[in-house]
Parts: sequence; C-alpha cells; structure tokens
Amino acid sequence: MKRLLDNETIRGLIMVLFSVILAMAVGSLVMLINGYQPLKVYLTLFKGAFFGKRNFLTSLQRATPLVFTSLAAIFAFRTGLFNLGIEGQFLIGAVIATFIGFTISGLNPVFHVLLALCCAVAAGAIWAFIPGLLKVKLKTDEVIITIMFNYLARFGVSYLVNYPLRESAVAPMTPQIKPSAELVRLAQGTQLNTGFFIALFMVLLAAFLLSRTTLGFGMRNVGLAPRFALFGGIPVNKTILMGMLLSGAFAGLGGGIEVLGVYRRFMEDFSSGLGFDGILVALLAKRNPLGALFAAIFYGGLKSGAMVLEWTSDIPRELIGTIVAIIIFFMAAESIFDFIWNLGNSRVKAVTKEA
Amino acid sequence: MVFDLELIRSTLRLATPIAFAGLATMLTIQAGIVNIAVEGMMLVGAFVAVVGSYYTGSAIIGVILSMLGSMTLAFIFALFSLKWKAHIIIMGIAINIFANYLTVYLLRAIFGVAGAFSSPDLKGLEMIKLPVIDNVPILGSLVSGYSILVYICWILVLLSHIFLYKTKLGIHLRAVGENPAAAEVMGIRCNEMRFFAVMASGALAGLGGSYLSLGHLTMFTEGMSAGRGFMGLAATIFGMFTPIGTFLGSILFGLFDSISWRLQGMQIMPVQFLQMLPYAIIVIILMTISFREKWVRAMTAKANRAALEKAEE
Amino acid sequence: MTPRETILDHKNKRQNNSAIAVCMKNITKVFPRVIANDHVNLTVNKGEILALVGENGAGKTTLMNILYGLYLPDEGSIEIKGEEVRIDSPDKAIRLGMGMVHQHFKMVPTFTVTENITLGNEPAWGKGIFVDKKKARAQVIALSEQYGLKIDPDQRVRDIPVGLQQRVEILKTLYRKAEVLILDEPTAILTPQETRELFNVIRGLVRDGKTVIFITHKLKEVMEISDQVVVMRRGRVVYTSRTQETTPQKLANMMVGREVLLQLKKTPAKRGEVVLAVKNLTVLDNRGLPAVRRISFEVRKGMVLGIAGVEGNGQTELVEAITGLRQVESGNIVLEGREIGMFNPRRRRELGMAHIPEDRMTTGLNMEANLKDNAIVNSYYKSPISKLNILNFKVIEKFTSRLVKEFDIRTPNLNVVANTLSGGNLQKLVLARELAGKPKILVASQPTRGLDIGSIEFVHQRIIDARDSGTAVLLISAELEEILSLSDQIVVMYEGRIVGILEAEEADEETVGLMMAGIKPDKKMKDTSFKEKPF
Repeated sequence: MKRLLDNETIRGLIMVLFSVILAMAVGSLVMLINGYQPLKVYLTLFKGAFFGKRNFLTSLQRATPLVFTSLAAIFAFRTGLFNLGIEGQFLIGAVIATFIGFTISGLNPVFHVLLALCCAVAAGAIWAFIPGLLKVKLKTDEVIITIMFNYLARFGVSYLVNYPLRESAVAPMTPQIKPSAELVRLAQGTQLNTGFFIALFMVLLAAFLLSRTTLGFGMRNVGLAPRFALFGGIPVNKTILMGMLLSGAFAGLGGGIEVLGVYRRFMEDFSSGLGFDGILVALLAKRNPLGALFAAIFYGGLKSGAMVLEWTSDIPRELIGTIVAIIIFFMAAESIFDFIWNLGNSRVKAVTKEA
Repeated sequence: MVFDLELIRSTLRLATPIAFAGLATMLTIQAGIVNIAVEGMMLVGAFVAVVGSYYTGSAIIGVILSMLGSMTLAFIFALFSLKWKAHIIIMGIAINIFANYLTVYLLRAIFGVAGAFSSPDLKGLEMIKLPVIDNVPILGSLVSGYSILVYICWILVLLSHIFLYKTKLGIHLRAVGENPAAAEVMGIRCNEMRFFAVMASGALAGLGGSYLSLGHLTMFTEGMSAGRGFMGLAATIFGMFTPIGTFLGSILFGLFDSISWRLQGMQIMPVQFLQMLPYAIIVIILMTISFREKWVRAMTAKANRAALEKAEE
Repeated sequence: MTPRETILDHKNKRQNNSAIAVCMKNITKVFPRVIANDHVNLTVNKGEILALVGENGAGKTTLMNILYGLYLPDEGSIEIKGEEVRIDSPDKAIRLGMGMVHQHFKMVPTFTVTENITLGNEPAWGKGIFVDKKKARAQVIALSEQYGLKIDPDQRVRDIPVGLQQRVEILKTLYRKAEVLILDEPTAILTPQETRELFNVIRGLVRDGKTVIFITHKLKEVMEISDQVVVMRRGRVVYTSRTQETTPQKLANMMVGREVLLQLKKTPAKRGEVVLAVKNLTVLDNRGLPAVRRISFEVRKGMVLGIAGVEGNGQTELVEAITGLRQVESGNIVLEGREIGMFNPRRRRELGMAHIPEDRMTTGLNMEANLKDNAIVNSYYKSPISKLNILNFKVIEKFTSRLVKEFDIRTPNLNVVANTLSGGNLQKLVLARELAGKPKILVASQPTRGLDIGSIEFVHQRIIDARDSGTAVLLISAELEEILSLSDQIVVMYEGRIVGILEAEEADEETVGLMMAGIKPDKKMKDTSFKEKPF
C-alpha cells in the first residue's frame, strides 16, 4: 500500500483529477454556447457509459483497442521515443490478421486465432522496427518518419483492400474471416469479445515487462538518462530497437484483435483515429500500463456513453473526444500544476534533503 | 492523355493548400519549433471559413474569420507549449485530435449534419481572371482563372522569402531557431519570436484551410485537411526549410496528387501507389540528409586533424 | 589571502587608482546545490589584461555571467567606471560597455560573418524594417580594419575555422562598442598558432584602450599575456597578484589548494601484476582534434595511479576512451593482457572495470530514478539480481540496503528519487555501486568534486580500502592534494601528453605543480626562465 501511494503516484492522480475537472469546465462552456445543459449532459454521458450491463459491456468493447494502442504508445514513451506511427502499425496488423483469417480454413479455432494474431504482432512490429532502425543507424528523427509510415501503411492497405483482397463490388472490403478465426463474443447485443481478456492479460504483461524485467529496466533508463544507460552498460541501441519493436507489436496485436473480434473483415478506414487515441490514453494514464487500462475504459466508456447521448438527445458524440483532448492539454503542461503541488510538498522535500 | 495543360492547372490548385501548410510549418521550424499542429489548425480553418461564409454571405469574411479561428488554436498551442512548457510534439498531437473532434462536433451542433456540409447559401471564392495576362495565349490559360487564395499563396511565398532573408524581424526569427542562446545574448527575445511564428503559422494554416473549403471545393467534410499539414511538413523538409523550396515541394506533391486523380479516372494502375509516392520520397530524403550529415561530420574531423598535424610540424 | 598578498593588492590599487574599469564587491551567488560565488571581490584596471584563473567549478564563469547580466547576484554590488550599476540583462551590460566571448560561441552557424556581427543591431532602412546589408557589410569591414582583425565578411560562420570564429565573436563585442571584453577560456579550443594570433589581437585591443578579462586555467598563458592575475577556488578569490610578481608554481598551488586533508589511513602499496596497460593511446575530442596524444602507462594490482593535470588537458577524453564511452583513434588499451579498445562499456565492466565518472548528475546516476535502479545499473542483468531476465526485487532491495548501510548513504528510504539526495550521498551511492562487484580496476574521475570535507574523507578512505583489497585504481583529479595523498605513482598530463611519471616519494606539491604547468622538473631551471621559453 505504501508503495502504491508514494508521492509520485499521488501527484499524478491529483494532476489527472485537476485536468479532468478543468477540461469538463471548458466543455461545459462549449455546451452552454451551443445551448445544451452541461450537468444533464454529463449525467447522461456517465449513465450511458457505465450504468446498465449493455452500456458497460459496450464501454469495455470500445476500450479494448485503446488498451492495445495505448500500451504501444507507453512502450515507446518509456524508451524515450515518439511512435506516432501506431495508427499504421495497427492497420498493418489488422490486414494481416484478416488475411490469415479468411485464407486458411479447417484449422482448430484456437490455432487459427493464435496464428492470425501472431502474424499481426509480427507485422506491426516489423513496421515499427524500420523507423527504429533508421533512428539508431542514421539518427533520423522518428517523429516524422513514423508519421510518414502511417500514410504508407494506409495507402498500402488501401491498395490491398481495393485490389487483391477485395471481395465486394460495392465497397472496398475483404471477405469475411472464417468462423474458426473469430474471437468469441461474450454477450448478446454487444460486440465485446474475448479480445478484452487478451487486453487484460497484455496490460499485466506490459506492467510486468516494464517494471520487473531487465528489458524494462533498460528501457526506462535509456528513456530518462541515455548517457547514464550507456555508462552503466545498458545496450542503448538494442533497447531503442526493442522499444520500437514492442510498441509496434502491441499496435499490430490491437489491430488483429479488433478485426477478429468486432468487424470480422477488413474495411477501408475502419480504424481511423484509434492509434492517436491510444497516445491520448497513454498520456492520460501518465505512461503507466495499469493506468492505461483504467484510462482506456474511461475513454472507451465516454465514447460509448456519447453514443447513448447522441441517441437520446441530439448532442454529437465527438464532444467527448474534444474534452479528452483538453484534458491532455492540461496534463501535458505540467508546470501549471507544479506550483499547486509544491505548496503542499515543499516541506516534505526540505526534510528529505536535510537527511 | 496524362499530361496536358489541365494537369498543370490542377497541380497548381492541389499544391496550394499544401503550400500554405508548408509555409506555416516552415516559419515555425525557422523559429525552432516543430509544429505538427498545422494539420489541426488547417482543419479548424476550413470549418470556420464555411461557418463564416454561410452566415455572413461573404466568402472573404469567411476567409478572414478562418484565419482568426486557426490563430485561436495557434494561441492555445503557443500558450500551453511555450508558456506552460508542455512538450511540443505531445501538444501538437493533442491539438490535432482536438481539432478533429471539435470540427465534427461543431458541424453537427451547428449545421445538424454528419460527414459533410454544403449548401447553395454557402458562398465560395470566385475564380479570378487576371486582367491582361488572361488574353495571352498559353500563359493566360496557365496562370489566370484561379481562386484569389492561389494568388495570395504565391505572393506569400515571395513575401516569406523577403521576410526571412531581408527584414530584421525575419533574420532575428531565424537566429532564434538556429541558436537561441546566440539570439538571447544579442538582446533578441526568443519566446516572443517563437510566439509570433506560431501565430503566423496559425494565420497561414487558416488560409490553407479556407482554400480547402471555399476555394477548391465549396463544402466542409470531416477530416478535410487529410494529412496536408503533415505534407506541408514534408514539403518543408524537401525544400530545406526555405520558402521557395517549400513551395516547390508542395508543387511536387500537388503534381503527384493530380496525376493520381487522373489515373484514378483512367484506371491504368492502382492509385494507391501514386499516393504513397510522396511519403516514400520524404523518407528517402530524410535518410539522405542524415547520411550527408554523418559524412560532413567525418570530413570536418578529418580536415581539423590534417590542419593540426600541419601546425605541429 | 595572506598578509603579503593583501599588501600587494593594496599596492596595485594605489598604483592604478585613477582608472578602475570594473569593480565587483562582495558578490555572492547561490545555486540549489552549490555556492558558486562566495563574497567575491574583483577589481579590473582600465587598459589592462586581468587573468581570472581557477579549476572548473571554481566560480569564474558564474562571476563573469553576473557581470554580463546573465545572472543577478544574490548579494553584492558592481561598479563600472566608479558608478554603481545594476546589470539585469545582457542588453544592459552591452550598453554599459561590456562584451563577452563565451567559451561556447554564441553564433548562428548558417549566417554570414556580417550577419552574425550585426545580429540584433543591424543597420536598417524602410522605417527599420529591412536590413541594410550593404551598410552592414561596410561597417564590418571598417571595424575589422580598425582593429586589424582580418575576416571575410561574406563567409558563413560554419565554414570558417574556430580561430576565425572567435575573431568574429570579438568583433561582435566591438561592434557594440565594448570597452571591457570578457573572454571565457578563449584558448581552450585553439591551436597554438591560433592562440598566438589571439594574443596579438588582445595586445592590440589593450593598446587601443580596451580592458580585457581573460578566463583560463592555462598558467603559461597567464604568465604570457596578463598584467594582473586573480585565482578563484571553490567560489572564493584566494589569491591576487601582479603577474610579474608571481610564478606559475605559485598559481598552480593556489588553484588546486592546500587544504589539510584529514588523516588518511594508508599503508604502503603492495603492487602486484599489471592490470591495465595503456599503450600509445591517441583519442580525439568532439571536434576531431587529438586530445590525448600517444600516451602510455600501466596500473598494477593494489596501487593507485594518479593522473594529475590542470583540467582540459585530455583527462576527460582519456577516461572516456578507457571506459568505452569514446572511440579510440589509435593505440591499445589492455586489461589483464586482453585488448579491450573495441569493447562496449558492458564488456569492459564484465572484464572487471568499474568507473566513477566525473559528472555524476548525467553520467553516474539517473537522477529521475530511485536508489534501487541506480544501484543495479551495472549488475541488473546478472544473477542473482535477475534470473532469466526477471528482476528479483527482494534481492535488489537487500543489495541496495546493504550498499546504503555499508556506505552510510543518508536517505529516508530506497524508493526516493536520486535527485532528492545531497551531493555527498549521491557520490557515495556511485562509489558503493562501482565497488560492489570487487572490480579489478577502478577508474575514478574527479571523485570528490563538489563534496564536503566529510564526504571527501569517506571517499578517499574507500578508494584506499579498495586498493588494499587488491583493486588497481586509476585516479584522475585536478585536486593536487587529492593526487598526492592517494597516489602511489603519479602521471602528470599536459596538453594531452605525459610530462612525467613520478613515484609518490619523489612527488611534492612544487614538482607536480611545475609539471602541471607543462614544465619538466629540471633543478637548474629557474622560475623566471618560464617567460623566456618560446610559446
């Protein structure tokens, strides 16, 4: 308990709370201008997100891909990298999983799913590995390269869906995957599927990797203090490559699961924004995998609550994305909170220093 | 027939929003800020332009309002990242996502439609026939008859060049971008210059956005900027951070764009490969630049060593 | 200040009473971890060259940054030409006639010489909007002719050699009509030829009535160029003299100090076989110039080899090359008979190397991480700290608390982030970690920099203990006293070369001080002969 609630964690939680409140206030302002009643809207929103079995399960379904993309973002951030190419890695993973899903038949369902997901992981990882390699070998900036790779992935996938893998004459989409490749849905009337359990498992795995393994140790030291890492004997370049590789692997896995569990075929532009939303979630979670689970459910919940809101009133669901982005504004600007925090903390620090 | 006059005309049209985004990015990079928020600023600009034009009945007022709209977003970006020290890339990502959701939200809240909005009451920008040039045979059909924003774009490319290389303010801006410490000791206020650059990029992004929604088309669609902000960034890198180079870069992307539109109509080859081309080229360009830097470093070290050995003799 | 020095100081003041360019009184500046300036007094006579010397971290640069308006002092006052002033920005300093050439040039590399010189103050036309490039160019040419500083106004700064870049920096200050020029270690990056040219330039400036403050730690240059010399040490002025009335040895002694260190329990070394051998090693600095030139030495088991030398004579690059943080240009580094010059830091550590780096804030520790992470950086991948790549928290906890206990690291618990600890405790942590693996060779670089006396004593004792338990120690220090009290054998470095190797018995402050100034110990040579030596 003591370790769970150390200074940093409390500070983080306070920051998140302040940011959420501030952003909700800004959101209220927007709503008032548009002639909505903020209080009522927020109430409907939370109800729509978390009250009632169906609403809640839908929230979890919406959270599932965000868990993966946010884990992808976290692995990059922890290693001191900006992987803005999660969107593309997600897409590549999704298309490969679909391909395995509909071409192979007669396989045991467990093996079929596993094979499809493994290929998705590998594809996402490779797609992220290239920018990583360029960074290590040529010192090119990964920010721009990964953005460019998003477009390459998008158009590449678009080609596949429009030409070789296209089934429907009406819309650019692949054939449906075989039933053996489907992730089982958990309840009627929702699209929540076993992918969510994989997500839970991956959160634990990520937390374990980051905090308890030598690789995670290397990553956080390379991310925070590269020169120290080199001096201490941590293989810096290898760690950077592993950071990108794992980041891409999680993104690819997310793409695969989204296809096998929800859409069951690949349609062009089905995922737009999930990669960047994942970065938001990672930031909301302060780059902590367990936090990412809650942040993803929070964000996913708001997204599905917003659907309910849209049905019951005429408030557009995109309001939520707007508010979450504002939360990130405040959270990114840590110096706003420094003074609040320092007021309460200055005494503690003084004591520590004397010792 | 793939190459003809109309291809050039459509290249120039398609290059314009990219050039605006490129100028916006280029100005901020010159001041030392990697501004990836241009994408979002442009989107907001496109939306505000439509709102302004629809309610005032004047496309020009729409353009002006769109600049103000993008500059508001630029102000938020500057406030958080320059004053409150939010990480510039993280803030850029957040601004882009914010702009994406905000415009869709407002599209539905204000116009009650999803996906796209257009209306006969929405006034677009008119095509301008240049007085004398219009009658010159080939030249006239090449450069006359575009939206006013295309001409403004060309003028702004020249003005940015003059600004950056001939005026005091522009030279100070470049100094801040290249070596803030050097500028600081010479009494130049770095943060003020950066703030100025971000606001200017907002205005330029607004122009680019309003060209999308009032010049090129007369409608607003969700996610209308479609990566043109990032293309602007790429054009900037392609153009080695100069206004004219950036413009040439955007012409190149405009050319790819218009060829791919045309080939799409002809169905000769998958259009996606052409669409990928600009981005692949950017990756290759960035790699080349890194290679060159590595090589230059090695060469300088060698030269230094040779000089020293000579000196020691 | 000794009474004699005080008298000298007064005498000087009397002599030049009429023309004092700058007078700084009781300047104190405190940074979070360190008192950079502690009641410093500095008087600079007009038309003279004042050399301000001292080791890195002695407070010279802070003092000059205060004079140039980059920092505000916490205490004290500044008088310029007899008038008290408040200098709160470089702008103000420039208006008061200050000009500063920073150690790291403050220039825009892609701008031309003219653009750099006139930056921020360009002649303009069109209501001050456009730069008048012709006029700017003419002004720069006129200026360069007036002071005899030849440059090409149209070249880009990044394309010209450092010596010329420095000239541009000087012209920048002159363009703004500087009366007092502050040169922060101007020769650190120059070749001997360029240095000679710089000195001619400085002499010319003084002839034109300018005043120059020259920061350096190269004593030869002090003797050659300055009229007056001030030595700073640990934030204080410890010595002031007319240059012709002092000697390089005296200055060296004042710089490195003669603090009486507390009793160090030290028995004679039992030297064993060679552990580390460096052969004909050449290492380049960041600019690609040789910083270490064909150096050879050996460190044996159970001894401390001290490398003495004024800072910036290649020690940093030498250490980085030995520990694997910098590429070797040529020569060999041999650890127990095995060439390790191509190995990465981890391989070297695995072969028994430990390293206390000179910068514990960025290199020695991860200031954002907790003590446990910091304690295991060199052993995290080894059993029992981790097995099958999984960290064993219990073992780590035990290991760290053992280090904390054994090395008396004062911390509330093991989970605090490193940057909440004091400098002494941080260095103890580094020392504890590096010695934990019973290394065969310990490379200790400036191990007591910035520490209080208590921690210094502790670190020294532990180094000696390590030696006695059979570790070979390579000690690099700019503190002469530290070298003399710890080392069994002393290597003195100067300008990347070894001046001489002494046994501890034959080394005393005077001899080593002399060697640190680049002079081979020669009993016949008198102190005064120094100035006649060709440069």
